[in-house]
Amino acid sequence: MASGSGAAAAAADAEEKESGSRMITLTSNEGKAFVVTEASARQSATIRSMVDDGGCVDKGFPLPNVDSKTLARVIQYSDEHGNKEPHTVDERAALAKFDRDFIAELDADKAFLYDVTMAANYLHIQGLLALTTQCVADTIKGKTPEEIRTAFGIEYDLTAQDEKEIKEEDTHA
Amino acid sequence: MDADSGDFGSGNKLPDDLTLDVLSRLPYKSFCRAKCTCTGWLSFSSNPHYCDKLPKPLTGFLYQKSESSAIEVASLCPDDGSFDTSLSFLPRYEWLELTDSCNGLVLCKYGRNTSSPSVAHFVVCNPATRQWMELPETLLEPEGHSYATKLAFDPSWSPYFYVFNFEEKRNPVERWACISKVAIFSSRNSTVDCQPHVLLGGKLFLQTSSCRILVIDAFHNTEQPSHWIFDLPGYKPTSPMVDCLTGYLGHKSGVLHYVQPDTGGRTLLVWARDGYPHGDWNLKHRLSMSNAFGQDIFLDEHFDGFLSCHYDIQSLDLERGLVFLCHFAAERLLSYSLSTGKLTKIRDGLRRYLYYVPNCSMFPAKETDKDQDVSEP
Repeated sequence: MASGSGAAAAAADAEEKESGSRMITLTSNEGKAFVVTEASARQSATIRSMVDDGGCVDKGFPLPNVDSKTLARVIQYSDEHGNKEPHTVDERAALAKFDRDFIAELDADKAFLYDVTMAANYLHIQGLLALTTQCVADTIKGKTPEEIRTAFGIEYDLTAQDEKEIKEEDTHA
Repeated sequence: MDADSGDFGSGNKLPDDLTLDVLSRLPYKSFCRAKCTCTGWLSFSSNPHYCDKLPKPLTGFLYQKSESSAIEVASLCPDDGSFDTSLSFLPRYEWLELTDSCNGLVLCKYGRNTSSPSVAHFVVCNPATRQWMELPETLLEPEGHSYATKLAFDPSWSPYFYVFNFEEKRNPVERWACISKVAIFSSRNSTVDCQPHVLLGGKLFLQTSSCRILVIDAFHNTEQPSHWIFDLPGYKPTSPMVDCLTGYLGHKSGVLHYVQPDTGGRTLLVWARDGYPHGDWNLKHRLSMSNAFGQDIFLDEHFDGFLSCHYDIQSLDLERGLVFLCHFAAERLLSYSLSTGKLTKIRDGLRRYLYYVPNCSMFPAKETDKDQDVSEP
């Protein structure tokens, strides 16, 4: 097990060195350019497939759905996860701590959490998306429907018939 | 969340796939609350494409290894720790005998050690809410009688539960006992007085030992409850020798169903009733037990002429397409899937289990102004 994963890690290292040497430019919808390592950019399945399909790496990738503030934060995540492959227990613990701190900051600013969630979804960054959707779920947990509506700015649109059905459905659950 | 930690803002609506992702991460209880937020969220539950991803209620089986041991739960889903399975919140819980379970409520009897043999003492509890209600003591006839106590609770019909205590008078000549008295206890006014069974639309359907169904209606009002009888489908065992092949009552989408092994036990027949008291049983499915178990012989004949079947039906959950069986030789609880025709082992070691699906509704406040609900049909 140890030797197997070590070999795999070494192979991944070699691959990372090769691909990590290239730099990729991501452009926010405000036209601001962010230069990142290919390893960092490959955290995004959207960009990864564009690169692998022979997209023009030199020209960079415009991201019309992501603003600069959000993109900077997303890159902070993908740099941490893409540029440093955790090998030791300590490194994995450090990455887990990074995730905790990262999401705690977003949790304090729900509108920004929403923006980062949308960007993670658009860019297909699975790890980041799991982190943010779990954070949104934790926000909902323990809230009444009224509190959820307030937090998400959702209008109350249930009919009396809906409410009756909910009651019946719950009892069959 | 604190009020000052910010909102998502009114313009920021998550697309459906992300909302689904978020909702799928909630424990079942939170999900039930959250889906009442708006019609969009509510519609996920009724969409078959999304249903699989959404949180499901914990289901499982209650069992007790012996009368003196703790009641436990064999869970069919990962336990989210949302309810207490030990029933240790009940007073004198160590004396409890597991008696019946219905739609999230559990009926237990206090063991004989705690009261005289002529008195039965029951308690109904909800492990999900840790609420419980003791029933008044019931007097029992000392000899020649046996008792079957059943719990009936269907919160979509009434927030109150009902306990039926069937007194059966044993006839020493014939093997079958007949019901001589039914005592009904209601949590509505908390006063006493009265086999596979199912509560459907406010009627209690009880399988009798003579292969018929006894229906008790209108037991929830203070007037005299009414009752009638209709036949079960399929073959009628001509002697007690084949009553090892008894079926099981269940329901799907509000329709009464009956699942019964055929005469050799090789097939399970699933019947649906299109109306009652007038109506017909329609054969819906034939489930091959031969294929599922990989054997063709299910009946053993004993020296006294009695037959026994290798398995029996422990419970039905037709909404989920599941039939739960117990294989006696292996003492194994199994679930049979109607969609795949496959058996899945749940646990080993016992022959009797009660199906349990938690229900989080609270007991309603007692109505003390009502009169006693005493009846003898």
